[in-house]
Amino acid sequence: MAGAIRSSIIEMEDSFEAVNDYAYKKGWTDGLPIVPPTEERVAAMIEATGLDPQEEIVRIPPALGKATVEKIVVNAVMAGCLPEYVPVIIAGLRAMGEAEFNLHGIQTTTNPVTPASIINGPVRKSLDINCGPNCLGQGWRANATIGRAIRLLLLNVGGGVPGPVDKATHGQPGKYTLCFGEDEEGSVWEPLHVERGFRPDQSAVTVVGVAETSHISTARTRDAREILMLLADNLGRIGTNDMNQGGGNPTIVLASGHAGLFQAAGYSKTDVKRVLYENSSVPVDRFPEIRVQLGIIRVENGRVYPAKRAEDIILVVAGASEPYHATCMHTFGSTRAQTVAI
Amino acid sequence: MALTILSPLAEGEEAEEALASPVHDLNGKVIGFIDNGWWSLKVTLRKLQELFEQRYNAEIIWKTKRAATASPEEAIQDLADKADMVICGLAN
Repeated sequence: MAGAIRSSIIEMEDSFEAVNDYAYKKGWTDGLPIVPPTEERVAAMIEATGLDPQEEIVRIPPALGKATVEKIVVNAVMAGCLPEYVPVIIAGLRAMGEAEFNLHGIQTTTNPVTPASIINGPVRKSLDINCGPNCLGQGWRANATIGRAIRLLLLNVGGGVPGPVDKATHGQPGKYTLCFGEDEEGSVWEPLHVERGFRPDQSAVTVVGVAETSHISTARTRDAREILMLLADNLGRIGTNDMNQGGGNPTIVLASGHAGLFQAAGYSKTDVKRVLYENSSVPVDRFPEIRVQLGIIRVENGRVYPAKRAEDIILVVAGASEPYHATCMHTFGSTRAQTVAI
Repeated sequence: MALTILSPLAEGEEAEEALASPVHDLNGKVIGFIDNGWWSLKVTLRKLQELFEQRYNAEIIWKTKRAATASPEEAIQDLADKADMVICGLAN
């Protein structure tokens, strides 16, 4: 370990309750109890990473607090992470630090947006990241605690305090944690990180500024065109920021069965994006006039689209294999997904 | 028995940013507006523009950006080069 621990030290009664009472009073938590970040736990996790604790990974807005390895580990311990999750969290923070992700806006807006972390590559298996059934739900330590550690860092290092700084009107449950892996083995398509320029044997995290997860039932039909129209209908919902801002990467999480079904019907991944784009536009006269007058909405030939281009739509294969349900992750609209190697 | 825990909050030296010199007289000054796209701000800025132009013979440089995004670097640089002071729209 190259550098000594420098965080402020707080001495208190040696009990789980005392630590959590203190953490709640200080506003350090997401509302759930934390694992006490003792010197021993933090030192052991830093040691396991092999990284210099004082290395600055990124500054997190709006406070522009320094996310050093040490601060990342303190928050990771609190979230319940294993040491081997730390490189995933670091990569996620680096991705969120890219200007086009617009983390400052995401941290402070009234919109319910939160970063979603999509994991690709071998690390999914070595860390047991759920890419299969219920991958957006409960039950997996890696999914739950990696996403939670990111949220705690946005709070404690970035200063995203709900209310005075994080101005979300309602927020969303995904603000506790939102992390899952792609079902690369079940998919007939190339994985997301390969599509975005990485090798299949690399591990990578893609962060997306997600405002909601919207369910789409595609059960009872195996007709590819019918399923595409169901997806397009959700993608083009006019109340979303994708439609109101049009600068994001709306993301659809499909089952491996969907990808297989589309391929069997002659649709490549690019074809699916094109069909979704072409069929998700809405006439501009359905939007509040003031938004059009202010130039907020991007209008193309009298119609509004959920993204600037078909290729901006992200397709991810995850979840159970049967093509019964899809999830549309509508985005903040003013954010671009970023991918960074782990 | 005592336990020691570590603070999860960011720590370290505060960034030292020099404050701009205050503007004591608006007469003939160049005033920049950063409009964040919200209607409520437009109403306010239009009133301010009228006031500054009529009462102080000021020149207004009005830059509009998309809500919830950072101003483009060129816009900030242009204001830094030309304006004596800037009024920046935040939130809604």
